[in-house]
Amino acid sequence: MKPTAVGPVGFVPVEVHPPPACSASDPAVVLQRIDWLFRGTTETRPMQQLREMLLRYRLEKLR
Amino acid sequence: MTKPPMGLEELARHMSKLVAMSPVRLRLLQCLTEESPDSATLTELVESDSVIAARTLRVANSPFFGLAHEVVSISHAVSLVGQRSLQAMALAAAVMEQFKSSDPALHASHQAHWRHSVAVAVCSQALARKARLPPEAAFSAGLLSHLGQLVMLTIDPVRYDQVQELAFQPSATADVVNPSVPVAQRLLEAERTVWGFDHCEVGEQLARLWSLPAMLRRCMSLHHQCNDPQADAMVWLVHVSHALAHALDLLQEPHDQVPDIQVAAWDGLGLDWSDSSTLFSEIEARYQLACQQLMN
Repeated sequence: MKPTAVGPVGFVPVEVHPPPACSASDPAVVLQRIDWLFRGTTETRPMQQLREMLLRYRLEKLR
Repeated sequence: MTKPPMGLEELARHMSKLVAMSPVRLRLLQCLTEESPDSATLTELVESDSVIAARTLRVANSPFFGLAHEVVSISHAVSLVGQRSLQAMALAAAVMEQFKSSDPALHASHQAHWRHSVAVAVCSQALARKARLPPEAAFSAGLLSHLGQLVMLTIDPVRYDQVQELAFQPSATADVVNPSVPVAQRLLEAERTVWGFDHCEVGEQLARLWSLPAMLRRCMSLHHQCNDPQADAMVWLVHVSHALAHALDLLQEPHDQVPDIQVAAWDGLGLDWSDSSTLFSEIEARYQLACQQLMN
């Protein structure tokens, strides 16, 4: 049995390449990764707030 | 070939073997989850289990607590880190010890589960301070919240893999859970299709088998049902922490995805997020330490 990730971690078709994890130093890559993580989420106030806070945090770390 | 759903009776038979503990360790587990256990009893019970005691002391002496002095005994640990912290660390050690496996593939899956659970636990602990809830209890609630999945994964890894495929990888022949449905709900529906129940129901069964306190039982069974009348602040906290753990990319999984936060949980907690960057930085640092010290 191959090890599987747990929690809501999705399998996607092999032709989709996920952006690298949020340790990148390029703001465009950081944004891409956040968009990827938040894919499929509903546009509710909590999700918008959380996404904004994450984006601000990641971009602050690049400075 | 897809197996038929298992059903709760068959689950109960598998679970009784998997999660059975000696009376002494069960008594220890119950003591570790009490709100205010007798200190002498707690110390004696932890010390009576050499494996749990050793793991607890290792964590107490680690950078996770950053103490200036070496901790040499469980009673010493209680005086330095506090009884509640000791309870949380010993509980983590006890539960991780219960699910140890010598099978390399199963061990790897267990480690992945614990990385996720530790992430939720660390987020829960940090958010609890803002919500004025007991942080050590929140840590334990976050750590145990998805234990139902670990039970399912251990009982039948092949069936567990089928859940992942059904929820996330459409194929021409498989009935696929609607991909436009939010990811957490997709996983729950896939679990019910493949198993006949979901990990929250398994968590509740486990909590009853181990006679865990009502707070932990609620967090294990209701963390995806924040509108349930029995859902309270700790349930909402674990629910939000789950999403935060994924949003912070703590697991560094390429295909990770943030689950939706239910508005009832977000509004119910009413947290002040004005210092979110400081909070996120602390969580990231604590997560790395926690993984190093809790997981072997």
